[in-house]
Amino acid sequence: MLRKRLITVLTFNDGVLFRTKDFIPDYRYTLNFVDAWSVDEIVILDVTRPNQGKRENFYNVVRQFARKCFVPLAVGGGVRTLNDFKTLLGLGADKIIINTEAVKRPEFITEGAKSFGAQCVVVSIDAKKKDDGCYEVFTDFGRRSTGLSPDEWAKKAQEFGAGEIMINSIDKDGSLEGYDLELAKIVSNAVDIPVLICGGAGLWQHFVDGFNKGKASAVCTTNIYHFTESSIKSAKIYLKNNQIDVRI
Amino acid sequence: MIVIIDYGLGNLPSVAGAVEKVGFKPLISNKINDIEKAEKLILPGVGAFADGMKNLRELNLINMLNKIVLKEKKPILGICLGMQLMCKESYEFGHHTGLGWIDASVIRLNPKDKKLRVPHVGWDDLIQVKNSLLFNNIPKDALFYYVHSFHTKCNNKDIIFGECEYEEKFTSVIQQNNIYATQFHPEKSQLHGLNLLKNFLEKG
Amino acid sequence: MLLKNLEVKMRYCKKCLMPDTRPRIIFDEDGICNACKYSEDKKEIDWESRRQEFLELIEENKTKNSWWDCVVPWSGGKDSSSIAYRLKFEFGLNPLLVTFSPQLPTDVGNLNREEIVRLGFDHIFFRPDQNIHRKLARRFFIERGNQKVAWDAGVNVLPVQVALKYKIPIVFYAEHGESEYGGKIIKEESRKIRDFTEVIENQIGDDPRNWVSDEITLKDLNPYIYPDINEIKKAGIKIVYFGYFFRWSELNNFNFAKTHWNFHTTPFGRTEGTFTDYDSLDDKSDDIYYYMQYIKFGFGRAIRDASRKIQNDQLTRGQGLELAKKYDGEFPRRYFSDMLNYLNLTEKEFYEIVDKHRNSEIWKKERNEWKLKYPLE
Repeated sequence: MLRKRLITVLTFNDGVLFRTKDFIPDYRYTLNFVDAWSVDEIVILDVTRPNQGKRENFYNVVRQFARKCFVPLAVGGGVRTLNDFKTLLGLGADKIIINTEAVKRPEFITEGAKSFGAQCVVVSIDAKKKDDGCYEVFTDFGRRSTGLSPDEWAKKAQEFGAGEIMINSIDKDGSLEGYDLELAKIVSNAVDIPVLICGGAGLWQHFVDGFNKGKASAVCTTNIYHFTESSIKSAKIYLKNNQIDVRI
Repeated sequence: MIVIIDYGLGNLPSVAGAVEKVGFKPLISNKINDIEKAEKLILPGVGAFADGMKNLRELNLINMLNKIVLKEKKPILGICLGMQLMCKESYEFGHHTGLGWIDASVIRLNPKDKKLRVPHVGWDDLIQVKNSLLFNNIPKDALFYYVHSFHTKCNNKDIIFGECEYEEKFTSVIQQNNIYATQFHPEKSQLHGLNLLKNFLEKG
Repeated sequence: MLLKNLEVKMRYCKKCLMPDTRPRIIFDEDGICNACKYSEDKKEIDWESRRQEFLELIEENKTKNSWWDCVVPWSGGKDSSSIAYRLKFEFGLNPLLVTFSPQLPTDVGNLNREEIVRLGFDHIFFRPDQNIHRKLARRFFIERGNQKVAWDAGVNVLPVQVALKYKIPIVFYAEHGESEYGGKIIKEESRKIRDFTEVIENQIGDDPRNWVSDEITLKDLNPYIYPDINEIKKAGIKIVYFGYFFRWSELNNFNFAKTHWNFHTTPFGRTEGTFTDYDSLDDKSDDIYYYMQYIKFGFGRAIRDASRKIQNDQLTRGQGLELAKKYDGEFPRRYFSDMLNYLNLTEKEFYEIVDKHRNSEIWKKERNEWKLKYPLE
């Protein structure tokens, strides 16, 4: 029985752990990360703005994680070419996350899937709710509007060969109020491939809602304090007590 | 010395890290000299079948691997795509020929229940069908990390040592003499994965 | 496993002494921190109109429901006591003083509280279940290098829970930390009205409801769980900062305390890790708390106190620098064994945890001794 996943998402700016909500360094958790044996998967994203910082600093982060964490690593941020795929996989990534480039050129998804396998390609979608209540996809760190609707884009991404979809709510990111369940559901219903939902998790109950109401295959959290051994255990026991089948 | 075969596809640093973690010295290489001197081999794999075979061919590794694995019977562990490459053929993006070390075909996972999404990604069971040295100290309810859209359909049922169920049962672990392979990623499966890897490295 | 937190070496504010490692501090192009800026900006604020706002607030909320007009989260220290005193004796309100007990109450803290209560105040003193609290203290000391995480939650929750329970319309917190000490303002309104999300993000870190474990149930966490925001809204409770209405100054508060009642400074002459004797005296746990700040961010109590004094024109930067260099990072021996006992740690375990939280970007080991890479010069 395939278990539901709890995934930690960490964002880095020029190799420094960052919080995306305000785009500031995350100093709250200093040295010595717990080798969280209970986490199911780790997502590492490079949010360095173009021409601000050295890519090598991000590569070092990937290298460190790959070498010390024996858990699947999905890596993304600024992936533009197949060479980027190769580089990151060579550093130890298991899956590559693409966003802006895929919107620009959906063929990129197919190229990635053909060369590295569909299961290796995760298409990440950032979406905001518009005034009329509909959702729109944004690229370039949530700054550029695309006119696309997330469920249609997700469907297209699947057709082009994506292995998984990661859907982020820009509005809910960092809010601690819970996922945008409506957004999660429409994307999840639009595709047959696994969907990871992200943006807004604060309480363990949000994870439960994410699975039940958002129809997610995996829920993501960006709060650094959710990445400790005790937090993950606590979350998973809560999930289990709420009839969500997770790996304990 | 353990050689992790570098054929351009695969999360080599992760595999190397895992091998080190369980106390062995890994060497990532595709040089004939290294592979010949290795005590044991690991054939990792993240990627597409066709490219995998193409790379092996272009690196002139196939004949040499055939010799070392089939003739000299050096223990080898295939992981994920590595396992699939060991098969006779694959239907991923066309029809391709594999290494043919095991009598199996690689075909797409195709559950009818749409709630079971493909690729099969995440933590899932390993049903220990037969006793393998790989399973030493691995509890029956241990979970492993799978990430694949294709699976190995074995014609020779004797080599099936482990299975997993995704609507239907598929082969998760094979063992054929000196050839071992897992569909899941032991180097990504935390404690139990590391133990399984250790079992291969110590006793395979 | 290492996560790089800082890329460049520490810079210190050109005006005060705060380093850029303080979370959420911002330096402008001239190298001045936002706390210094705010302290200048404060001079420009129309305090008369703020005072009017305050008078309107208390007028609007003259209560029909409760015996008390407002809640003052109260430690007994110079700051919260000054607020309590003024609310009662200057503005004629009837405040309910609410204390979430220090982890390890000090004698001088108890004494200072007694002095105030004696003047004529109702006081609720709540000490949470120590079996549970100590487990949380220990857990977070290990995981986050901060044994006061749960305490922070309690201090924030209790006054609001009490206000709800007794239908008291206003809760007066002291100063808005993010404004006063260099932090991130999420919205302007949060300078006046306390934003609990800000508190969670900046102080507590995550929702206390997530702290459930095999040892701790949701019920156990009751003192740490913030009441439903909607309930608070429905009850019409206003949770505000006194420092928004009246210009905040630590020195003024200290002088006020000395003049208006028998305010006791530390009997030991000087608080460890700094040169002052009047700040944060009520909890033995604070010494280690500030020491861990030194370990994680490279600045301790002395730099913090000196910076505030510089901002309030009580010290020149040069004077502050001398004091900071002399006392900052001093290891707090006084209550060390009390803390080891409280946290159920051996000395060895303690030092191991400290080193785990030592930020390697700013510390280096020289001849078996840890030294800051970029100390104040």
